[in-house]
Amino acid sequence: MSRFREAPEAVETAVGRVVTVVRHPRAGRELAVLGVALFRGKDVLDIGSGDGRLSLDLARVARRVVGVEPSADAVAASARRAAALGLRNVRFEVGAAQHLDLGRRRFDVAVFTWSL
Amino acid sequence: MVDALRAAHRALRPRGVLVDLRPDASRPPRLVAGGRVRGTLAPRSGSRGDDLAADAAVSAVVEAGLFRRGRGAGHLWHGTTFASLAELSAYVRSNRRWPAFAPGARSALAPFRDGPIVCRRAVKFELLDHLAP
Repeated sequence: MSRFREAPEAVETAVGRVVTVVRHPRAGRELAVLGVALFRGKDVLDIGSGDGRLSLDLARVARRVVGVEPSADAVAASARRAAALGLRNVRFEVGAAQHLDLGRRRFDVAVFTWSL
Repeated sequence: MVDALRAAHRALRPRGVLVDLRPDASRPPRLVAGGRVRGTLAPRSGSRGDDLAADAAVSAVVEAGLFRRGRGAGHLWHGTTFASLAELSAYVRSNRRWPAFAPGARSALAPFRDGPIVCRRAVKFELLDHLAP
């Protein structure tokens, strides 16, 4: 049991190093600053979804969220987290920001998450 | 970057909104321990240039008539809490934007080597309105 408020989690950094993070940033900060109304009931595209942190929080208020991320490992991990949380309105796809393959799908909000 | 913004424009419905969230290169991450800021991280040379290039890409698509500014912009702070100074150091060594401690920061954190240490990073944001071509 951690002596901190949350259990530490081993996370892999962008260059493959594993570090222990006690507490991740809260996506609620973005929601608070940008306004929940921007996302409520909307179709949202999260470009550069990374570990899925923002997509998963957005899925609680949005109608549908699609996270696009170049790392297949991150996409798989994000999908597992969504399943564990019981979120059915979010999906994650492997893809690059400059080559989005979305077919005919269109979105109300697109978020560049640290990917520009 | 412009290609990515154009791809996002195609993915948006008319009157959609683009949100640009990214690290703010002008505000170094703050290292907080024991309730106070003990130091900051030092940027990789060139990271400011990356930020300016992203700014220029956004300006280019605005000038091209794909998006309109004015809906809102600002910055927020993200806190990531590390279990110890060793864990924070490992993170810093692997960080592409902020790969080093600023002078004096690591020694100032030494009394807090057993953590927790919070790395507070500035994230800037801008909301852009989609304009139909």
